[in-house]
Amino acid sequence: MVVETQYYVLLSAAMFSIGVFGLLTRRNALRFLMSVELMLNAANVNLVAFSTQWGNITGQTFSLFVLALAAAEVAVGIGIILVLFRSFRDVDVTEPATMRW
Amino acid sequence: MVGAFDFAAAVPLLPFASFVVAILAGYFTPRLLPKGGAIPGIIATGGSLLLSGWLLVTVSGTATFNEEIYTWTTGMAGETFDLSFGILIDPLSSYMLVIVALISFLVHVFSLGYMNDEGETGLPRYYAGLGLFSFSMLAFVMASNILMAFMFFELVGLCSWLLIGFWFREPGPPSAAKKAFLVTRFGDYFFLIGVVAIFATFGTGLFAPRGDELGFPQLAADVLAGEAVPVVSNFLGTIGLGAETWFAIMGLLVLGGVIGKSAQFPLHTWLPDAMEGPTPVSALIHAATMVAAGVYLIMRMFGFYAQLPRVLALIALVGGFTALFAASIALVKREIKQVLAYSTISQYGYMMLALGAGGYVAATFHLMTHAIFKALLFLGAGSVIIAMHHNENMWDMGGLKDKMPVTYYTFLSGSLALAGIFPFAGFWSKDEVLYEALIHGLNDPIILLAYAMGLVAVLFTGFYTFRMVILTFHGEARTETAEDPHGVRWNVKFPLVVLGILAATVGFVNMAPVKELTGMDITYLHHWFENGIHEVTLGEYHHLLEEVAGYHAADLAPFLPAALSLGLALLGAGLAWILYSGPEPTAHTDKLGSIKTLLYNNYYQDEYQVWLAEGVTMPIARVADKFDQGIIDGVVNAISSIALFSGSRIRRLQTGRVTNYAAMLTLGLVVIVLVVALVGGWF
Amino acid sequence: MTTKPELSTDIDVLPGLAAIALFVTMAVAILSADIGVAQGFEPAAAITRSIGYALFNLERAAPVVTSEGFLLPFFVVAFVLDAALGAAVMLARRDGGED
Repeated sequence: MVVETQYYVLLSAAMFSIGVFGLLTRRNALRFLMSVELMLNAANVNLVAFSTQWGNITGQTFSLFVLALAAAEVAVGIGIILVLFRSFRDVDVTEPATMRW
Repeated sequence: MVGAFDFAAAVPLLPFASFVVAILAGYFTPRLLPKGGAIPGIIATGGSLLLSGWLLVTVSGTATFNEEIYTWTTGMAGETFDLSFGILIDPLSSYMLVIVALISFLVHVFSLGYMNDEGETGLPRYYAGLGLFSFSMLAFVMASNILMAFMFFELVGLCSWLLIGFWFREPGPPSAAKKAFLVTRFGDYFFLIGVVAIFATFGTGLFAPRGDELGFPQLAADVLAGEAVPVVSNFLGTIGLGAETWFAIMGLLVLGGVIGKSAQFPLHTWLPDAMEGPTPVSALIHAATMVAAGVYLIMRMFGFYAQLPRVLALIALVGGFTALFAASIALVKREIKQVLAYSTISQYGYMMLALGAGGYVAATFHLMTHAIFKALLFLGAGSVIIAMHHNENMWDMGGLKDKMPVTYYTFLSGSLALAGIFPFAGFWSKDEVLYEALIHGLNDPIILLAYAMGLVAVLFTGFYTFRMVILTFHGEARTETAEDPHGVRWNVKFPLVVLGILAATVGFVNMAPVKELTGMDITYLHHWFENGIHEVTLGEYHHLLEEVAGYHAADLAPFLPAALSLGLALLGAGLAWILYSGPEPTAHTDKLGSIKTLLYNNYYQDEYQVWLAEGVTMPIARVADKFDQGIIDGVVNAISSIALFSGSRIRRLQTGRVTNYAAMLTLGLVVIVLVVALVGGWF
Repeated sequence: MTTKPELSTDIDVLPGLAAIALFVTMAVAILSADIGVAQGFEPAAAITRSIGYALFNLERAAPVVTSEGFLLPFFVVAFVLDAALGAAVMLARRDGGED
């Protein structure tokens, strides 16, 4: 039985929304980064689903690249959190609120 | 062949050059001006006098000149009008130019004696003021359109303010200067509205036709004769008034400026206070030229006024009343210049009476003779004031006739002219004014009333004039200064002699009674005004007066009215002689009791006008100010406070927290997707 | 010792509603869309091998599955990974450039 592409896309949307939820509600910077990862993987799922839909490998190859870039982004993100920790002594993302009105 | 008209623009520009020289050299290099700017002024006004004389000679050969010299804006074709400077040289303006230039030149020479010899300081400012005044007055006289006339009208008012307030460190002069400026400005406000009305109604401000373009008096004549002039018809249609009514309103508006500038009742209060200025200034500005600007304007626009009989009747009534009113005040005054100031107001009332009665030549004749004898009287008073070390009170004078013979005889010549004694100039001109008023008044009761008032004023004029002469020059000296007066030099005597001779002789240019008697055609002034640009000549004015305004002259020989006015003048003079002659004259005016108080306080007109300003205008001004501050400023401030308030609230979106921004991003995305979905019909 | 995982109750839930709204919108849009029947691949297609060939623009050697060439993106990603590594190292250093 072939699962219809619609449900894969729905899965992708659900994963994306969970990631957004985490992004909006999490305080810890590392959990923040994990949510971002989740969003990127949701996009991957979407890409692979449509690769099957059109019968074209491009989607899957592209998702490999996305994975690689996600890893790079996390590396840089952790570096930023390190600097943030040094400035504000806490990894709480609600702490640095100096660029405000 | 270079014509006089090529140099017409130089007539006002020469004094303007002397103004510039006096200002620049007086400020930067005072040593170059040994007399404080008098020499450039004398040369400039002398040059203007010669050029005006040349223009007069050219115009007498029936040449005229009406050209535009500078356009400052051209209106859209057919929709609006052009604004320009132009020069109009015709019999009337060349006549007036000579008068103004002559008096200006003589006053400059006199100032050498009055200001320089008395050791006054700040002379460059004085001569600059005189130069600027001469420029403005000469340019006003040769203005070809009413807007240019208005501009120079205002400019002479400014120069009057500058010169009256010459000794501004005293308390009196600056206040008098301000009063002069404000009172004339009040009249000029109505004049300005009149100018705008004229442009709006006629599309042009020209006084006389220039090429194909007609001036506004001619357009008014066309409209009242029944021809359709599109510009005027459009405008009348817009405002919904008839032609005659609207033209009368415009005439009245311009009359406001005339009444202010020529010091007629009720805007006469500034002239006596203007005597705070130096006497040569009083002679030039407040006797002979600036106050003449008002009546000159009516003369220039006479083609317009000649068609408005009710306005003319009002002019005559105002003139006659002012003549009587001012002459009555002059009866009790103590200072010599105050008597002369009220005399000026009174005599300009005569000119207005003449114009209102339709006696154009009489008014212009009286303008000339008055300019001469009044300037003479003021300069004579100036000579006396120098002699009395600036004491103006006539009761401190006396017996000066033996010690100052030149001044005495010239002053006497001027006084005889003022009182209207045969054969001095004033007799001929005042007699013609009253004659014209009588013959037109026999057909019109208002003018007859004005004539009666003018006639009584003759009696008063004779009285106050000779009271002045007797108290100043006759009898015995009443103070030490009078016994040993300060001497005066040639620069004072020369203008006095020139004017004295003129006051005695200039009346002979228009001896109407002699013409009636002998049939000789010697009324030269009548002939003078018959030439020129056709629509602004005497013939055209007579035609308009008779056809349109319905003025008809009664048939009366001039001898009886002449004898009547001469008799009254002699009666007034004789009364003054009886009361005041002798070595020790007594002050008889106290016998009038409370009337004297009324007259001496100028019928409380000054206090009345101050009350109008403080009691009526101030409260209105306060209300307007409240409105401006509260409502108009309030609206503007409210808009800004709305912006500030909303700004201070909206900026709280910038919390600085990344998660908040992420939330806003998400919400925004949801909204956009929803909008696109709904519009695109995804569901 | 680690503690058992607990549901975090100290978080601010309100912004999460935005996420939920997003999900609802997308779900509605997706479920009402007509995507069509999936084409799919042939049962015995060599997928992984094709991906490898596609990465180096050698896709003509993979006869079964269509693809595009990804050589240029390969180089770009290599460059970017290199940069990211350098950035991370630079950020992790103490300020002042200590080694």
